Amino acid sequence: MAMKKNDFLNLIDNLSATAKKGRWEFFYDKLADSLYWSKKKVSSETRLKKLSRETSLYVNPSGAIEGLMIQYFRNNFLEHNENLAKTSILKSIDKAENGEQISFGSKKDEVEALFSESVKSDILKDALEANYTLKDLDKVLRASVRA
Amino acid sequence: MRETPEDYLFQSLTHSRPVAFTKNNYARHIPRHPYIAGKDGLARIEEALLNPSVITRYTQSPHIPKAKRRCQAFYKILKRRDIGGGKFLLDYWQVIMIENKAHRRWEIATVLAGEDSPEYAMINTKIETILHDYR
Repeated sequence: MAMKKNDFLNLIDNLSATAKKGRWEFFYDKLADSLYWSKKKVSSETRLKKLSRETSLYVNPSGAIEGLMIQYFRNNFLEHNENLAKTSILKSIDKAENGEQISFGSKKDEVEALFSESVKSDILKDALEANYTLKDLDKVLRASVRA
Repeated sequence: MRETPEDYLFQSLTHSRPVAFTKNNYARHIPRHPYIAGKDGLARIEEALLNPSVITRYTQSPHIPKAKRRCQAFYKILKRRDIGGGKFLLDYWQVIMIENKAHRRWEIATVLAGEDSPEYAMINTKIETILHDYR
């Protein structure tokens, strides 16, 4: 989904739909404590745009979002996202091979919805603390989009 | 940087022994971190380790409560852009390493390239402590 004019919230609110369209999956890197919700392979010119102390978006040169990454997931992110921690996400992570796709079975939609909410609140909380407005976040999102 | 059949070995500013990036971990990272691929990617990793802007430390205990691991993050800021209102965007590389006590060495866990990211988000001040600030 390419970024639309001045709509950071729209982008975040549509994460689940973007994920479905882009066939994103969850992956967890045990050594780095990184959780990915992304394509298995992002395109070569894609870069990470870190929007909070824990959340980065994969943005390609045309402004499309190819996924996101949370770090440090177990050591930090889950501690202040209790609703997400209460789901089966940790069990599912532990079942998966390091770096391989995580299966949530019938809980996939629930995990994705809670995860999207957690990401939104994480980004907005850190932005607010740093006195960034929604307009500032729009500016940040558009900064590396090539015309 | 030199390599062995298993590892890429990097010099760094603060470690007397080489910092290892196992080839298995490196290869596993490329699909989601394509910027580290090839000679350029490896050279940039070494540049971040030799000339960091900031070094932080933290501990990690993801699986076994008693098995805390020491971690460090080397940040190399490449560009700082003013967007007005006292706000800045950064391009930077971050190399995260973890102490492997069994092998008596530090190993790279992951490498991130942040682009046009707000300055406030670069360091996770919730868990990282600044060890050296060369800015």
